[in-house]
Amino acid sequence: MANTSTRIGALQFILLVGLVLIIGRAAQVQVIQGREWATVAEATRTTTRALPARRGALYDRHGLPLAVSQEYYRVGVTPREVRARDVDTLTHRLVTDLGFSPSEVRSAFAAVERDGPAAYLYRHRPASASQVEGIRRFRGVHLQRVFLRNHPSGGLAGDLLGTLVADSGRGRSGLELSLDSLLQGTPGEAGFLRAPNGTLYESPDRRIRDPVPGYDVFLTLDAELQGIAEAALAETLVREDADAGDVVLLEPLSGEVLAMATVVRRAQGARRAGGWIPAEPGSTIKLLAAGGLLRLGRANATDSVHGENGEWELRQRRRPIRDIHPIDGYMTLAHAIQVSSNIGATKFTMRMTPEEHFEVLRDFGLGTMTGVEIPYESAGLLKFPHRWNPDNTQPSMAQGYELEVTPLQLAAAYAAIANDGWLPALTLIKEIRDAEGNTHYLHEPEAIRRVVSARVASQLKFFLREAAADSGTGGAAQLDTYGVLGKTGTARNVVDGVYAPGNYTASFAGIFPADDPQLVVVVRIVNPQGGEYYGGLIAAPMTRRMLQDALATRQSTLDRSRLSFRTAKAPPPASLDRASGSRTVIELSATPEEPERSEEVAVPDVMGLSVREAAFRLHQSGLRVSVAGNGSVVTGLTPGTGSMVRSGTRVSLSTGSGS
Amino acid sequence: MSRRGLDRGLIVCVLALAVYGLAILYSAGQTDAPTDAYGAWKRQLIWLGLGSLVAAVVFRVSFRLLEWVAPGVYVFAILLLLLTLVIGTGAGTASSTKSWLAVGGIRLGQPAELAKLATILMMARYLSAFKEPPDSLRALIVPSCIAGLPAVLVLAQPDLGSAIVFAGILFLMLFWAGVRPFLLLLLASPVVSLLLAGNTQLWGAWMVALFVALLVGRAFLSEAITVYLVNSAMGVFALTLWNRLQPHQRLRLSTFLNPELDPSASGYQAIQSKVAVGSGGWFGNGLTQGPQKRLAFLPEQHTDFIFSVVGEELGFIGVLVALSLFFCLMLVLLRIARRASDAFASLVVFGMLSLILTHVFENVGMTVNVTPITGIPLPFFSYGGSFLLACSLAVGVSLRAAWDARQAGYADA
Repeated sequence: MANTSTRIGALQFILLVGLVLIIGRAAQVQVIQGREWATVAEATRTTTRALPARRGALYDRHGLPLAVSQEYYRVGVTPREVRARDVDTLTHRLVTDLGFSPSEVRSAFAAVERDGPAAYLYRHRPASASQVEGIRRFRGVHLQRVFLRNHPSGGLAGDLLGTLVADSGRGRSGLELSLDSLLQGTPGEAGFLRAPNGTLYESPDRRIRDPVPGYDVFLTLDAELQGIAEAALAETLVREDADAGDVVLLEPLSGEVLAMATVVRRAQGARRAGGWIPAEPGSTIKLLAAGGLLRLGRANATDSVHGENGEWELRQRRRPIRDIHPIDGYMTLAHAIQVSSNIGATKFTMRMTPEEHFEVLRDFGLGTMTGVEIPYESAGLLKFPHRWNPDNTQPSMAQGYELEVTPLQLAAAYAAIANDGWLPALTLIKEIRDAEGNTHYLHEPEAIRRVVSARVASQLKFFLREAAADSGTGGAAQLDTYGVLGKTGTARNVVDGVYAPGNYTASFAGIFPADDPQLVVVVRIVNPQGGEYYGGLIAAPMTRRMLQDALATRQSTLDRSRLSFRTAKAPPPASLDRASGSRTVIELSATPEEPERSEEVAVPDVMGLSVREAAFRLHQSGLRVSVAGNGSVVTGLTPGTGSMVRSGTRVSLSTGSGS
Repeated sequence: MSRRGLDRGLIVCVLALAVYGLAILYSAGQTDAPTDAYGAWKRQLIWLGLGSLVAAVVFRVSFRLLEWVAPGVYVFAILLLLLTLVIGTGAGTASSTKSWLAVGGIRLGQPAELAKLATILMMARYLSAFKEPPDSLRALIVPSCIAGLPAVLVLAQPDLGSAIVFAGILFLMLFWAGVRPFLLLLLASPVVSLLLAGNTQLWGAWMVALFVALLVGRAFLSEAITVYLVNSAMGVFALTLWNRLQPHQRLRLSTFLNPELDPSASGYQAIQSKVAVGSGGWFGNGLTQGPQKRLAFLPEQHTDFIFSVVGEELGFIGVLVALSLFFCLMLVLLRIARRASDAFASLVVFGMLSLILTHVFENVGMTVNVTPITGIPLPFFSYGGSFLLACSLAVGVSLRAAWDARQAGYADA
């Protein structure tokens, strides 16, 4: 054994060298480069994620929620992180508030010993804010905020509101799409810790930017009128065995769309239906040409043309022009429109040159989008005069063919007549507010142009009054109480490039009430197969029913104080006064005018019904309604069911989510 | 056997290391991301208890008995290693290799750890028989075979880390036995030649230097020729050998030289270890608070890479303390080996020192990217039963050697 001291010394030296080598390296990595590596470490373990912003809600004009985003939470619990003294309380909360089964929770806590951090409890269905309130403070509880879109008014105006893309929460169709930039808000940003396996760990102190919720949009829609329109459409489609149908209700002065309903009953009708889908209008268009004749002075009250006894051969035209109700003798322009004479309308219309004819239709807004805030509006079809067939086009257009009009365009044109000649700009947006309730935009009525003079407009209204009188084609639209102005239309439909026999579109365009117009109605029923197909027999009576329902609901859109009975003398046409045209914003709590009658009524039983259905029934009983909460189902009402209250009393509904 | 004869320095060092190691192992389990490390410290505590028992038992075993059983233990260990090659299973930190022996699904341990101890005993027994230290390469053939056989067997598992430990034991024990450094250089020369074979110029220079060394060192002619031939052969066959290495070993060796070669796979551990250690700075993030560890960026942070937890959470100061404790332990063991009452005891204690030293150097070096990633545990820190028991045995033997020496009258000062 050579235990010399040199050997020991050498060994100690080697040990020291090894120690110095490693310590030197540690010093290099930790002390000299330490900061650098700490930065690398920080970058390796952190990541950022977007915090979702609440999407703005869509309300009707009175503040009734149509589409709202509600906050929900995905709930996860890591039992290992839960403090021992919290276990019992948390278990109790999880079971009572969130619906976990006791055994499920117990086994998750029991699994900690075996699985360690892998033990996990997860709720697949998102929980509401009130459900998670009780567990929020516990360590080990992980909440992920998500927003889900609810439609508290059921499917009301569903197609118009549109849908969202499931993953991104961005608008996919309808108003959700066209108003997306307003509604979406600005997502926030939060920092997270990231494990190498990709799992993220919340670090609450790392919130970088708070999300900004989107704007709330108050639409011009009136939920009750929308509901009435949809119900009337659905009923009419069944009764008349029709493919599809549209209703547009418009406030003429403001250009605000009060209802825009489309119901498709048969798949083949889908492409023909929609307030933004154009079609050949038929006779409803005759009035617009009449406006042109009057404004150019090509016709007056006494001018007349011969009726040709119902059949008139026109020079180069393939087929003669026919009337359903033959007139053997002379008729005035008013009479031609009252009975919807094709021969009369054609003869009068041809007093204009094609350019003049084109011009008046264009002035009424045909061939141009109305500008309503939907993502896919059609401009319809209005050919330039130089492309007109010299022999055929003008007579066809006089009868409502060879041009295409959307229900929105027709409603705007009739609104111009109601407004003493001013064509209004249409809109679906009444007001835009931010999340704090500050108004950022308030719709001001806007006139596009004066199409005809007030005098011509009142003449046209007179024509419509005659057309909707008992002697006219639209008599079925008439109410007992208030006057309705309107014109019917019955157009043949093109199927596979030819006018298909027995395939018609029945329509009605009207103004209500006659003396002080508050509502423009356009109804279009596609391909009724129930026997009748004339606009006067299908669309006009439906309009009448809708107006009756609208009056019965006592909603505030129809200003009853301005309604005058049809016997009353028509007031002189007022010019479109900007001051009187602008309306005040209707607050959620706005009190409508006092009811006219005040007899006692019983509160009907509306528990468990959808909010819309309940409001409808209460309105029919002559009661007023206020709604609390964003739920879709009535869970309580004050005064209670069966209480005798004065008509016009406000009934408060509390709502909850249906199950 | 009184308590008076116990080596207090050794006990203090070992206890300090064990407590320090247990604290770090506990911290390694405190993660946000799920890891295997969770709760490992409790099991380690049981192993520590068992280890103390083993140390106490071994302390009562005389060196004569150890010397007598050495060949039997060695043969048994070799048989176990052979058995492992046939029925071995991968587990834990070495899941891709066959290093575990299991019966009926219950893992009994890693025979390589037993083989290390057996090799130390066998070498000590062989070397202590020499009156004069071996002075020729021929005399080194037997000890080389004693260490080489288990090294080859563990290399076949394949476990490069443990194989290097056998080499460390061989060279250090030969040095302690009094073999001339020049002979050790000759013994190591084929490996150097092998490592340098990749670069023709370096290898050429090495061969020239070796030629000069053989002339100056006045080696026996036959041995000089043999050494030179073997070195030449190594240079020639290096490529073939390189190709025979397992892909993961090849990657480990090449990514040691440049971890960024493959940052997602084998370079990953090296980079993450350096990042974690480096981010600790002077004082670290505090025990259990290391964010990289909490997110489990190092999958083996309770075993092979436990030292990176020390670096991240206790910083350079923590590293310094740990290395100082190991350095003290080495000095204490060196003192015991030096004062041992007989050659066998001295060699056994020094063998234990070699074992622990190699492990510490390899493991810590790997954590700070000085040595290749070979995956061997850090004594008293890494979680693992077999190795902890081996270390306990080393401590027990060393305590006995110190006690014997004191009984024999060697004063402590």
